[in-house]
Amino acid sequence: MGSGPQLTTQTLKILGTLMNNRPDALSGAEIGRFTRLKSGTLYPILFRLERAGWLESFWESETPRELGRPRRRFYRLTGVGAKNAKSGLRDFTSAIGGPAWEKR
Amino acid sequence: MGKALVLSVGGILTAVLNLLFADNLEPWIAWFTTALLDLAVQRLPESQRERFAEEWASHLNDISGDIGKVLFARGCVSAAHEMASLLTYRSPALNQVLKRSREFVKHFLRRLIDVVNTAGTLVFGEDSMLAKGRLAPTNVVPTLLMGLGGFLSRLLFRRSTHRNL
Repeated sequence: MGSGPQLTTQTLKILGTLMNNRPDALSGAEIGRFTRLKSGTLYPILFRLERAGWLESFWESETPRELGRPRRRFYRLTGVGAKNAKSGLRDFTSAIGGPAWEKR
Repeated sequence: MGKALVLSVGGILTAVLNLLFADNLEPWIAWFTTALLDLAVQRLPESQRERFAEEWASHLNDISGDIGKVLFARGCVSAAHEMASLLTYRSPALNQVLKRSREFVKHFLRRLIDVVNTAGTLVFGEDSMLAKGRLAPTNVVPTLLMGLGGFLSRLLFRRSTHRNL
């Protein structure tokens, strides 16, 4: 068993997106838009990363009544997550010359 | 000429469908999307339901277009399935045993149905031995038992052969 979550290309996409937006937190919808991952792929990865302690999540501060819609939940990298993401992305870049989504 | 005709017919058909369904389709899609999201939330362990019900509802709110909403909700159903399996961890050995047991039961039931069907046709069918007087009713049960015995021994023999391979 590995110590952290598996670093698939989709996981790296999410980590890369969150790294690029640091220190801001992003909602699931925003991460989905940036990475173009579908909900069936996106949420299990976010869930895994959060359980592994690489991400932390929190609700927006206003209540649904004040907002007039359901609250968004935001995700951001933790210290451990940022460190692991950096090394994961570095390994990936040195292996295949950079993620394709950054070349666009 | 042909192309124009197809286009006209297509246009009329679309207009008729629009008139028929435009009013009904939107609420139906909304209902379907909500039903899918409910299903997804129900698939999650209880401790996670409240959180993801709200999180997914807010994500759904950010999506424009009915088809996009339906696809998102459909994705949530598979996401919930995967997330639930992450929380109820089973060892790979136990998974293997469960998988083999399921296969065995499936195989057993399939064969049992085959045997019952075949025996039924042989015994009670129009051209059966019973109808032709070659088999007395008292022989029916032993015949069925023999059939079942043959099937079981074949099944066991097959499984041991698999193991030897």
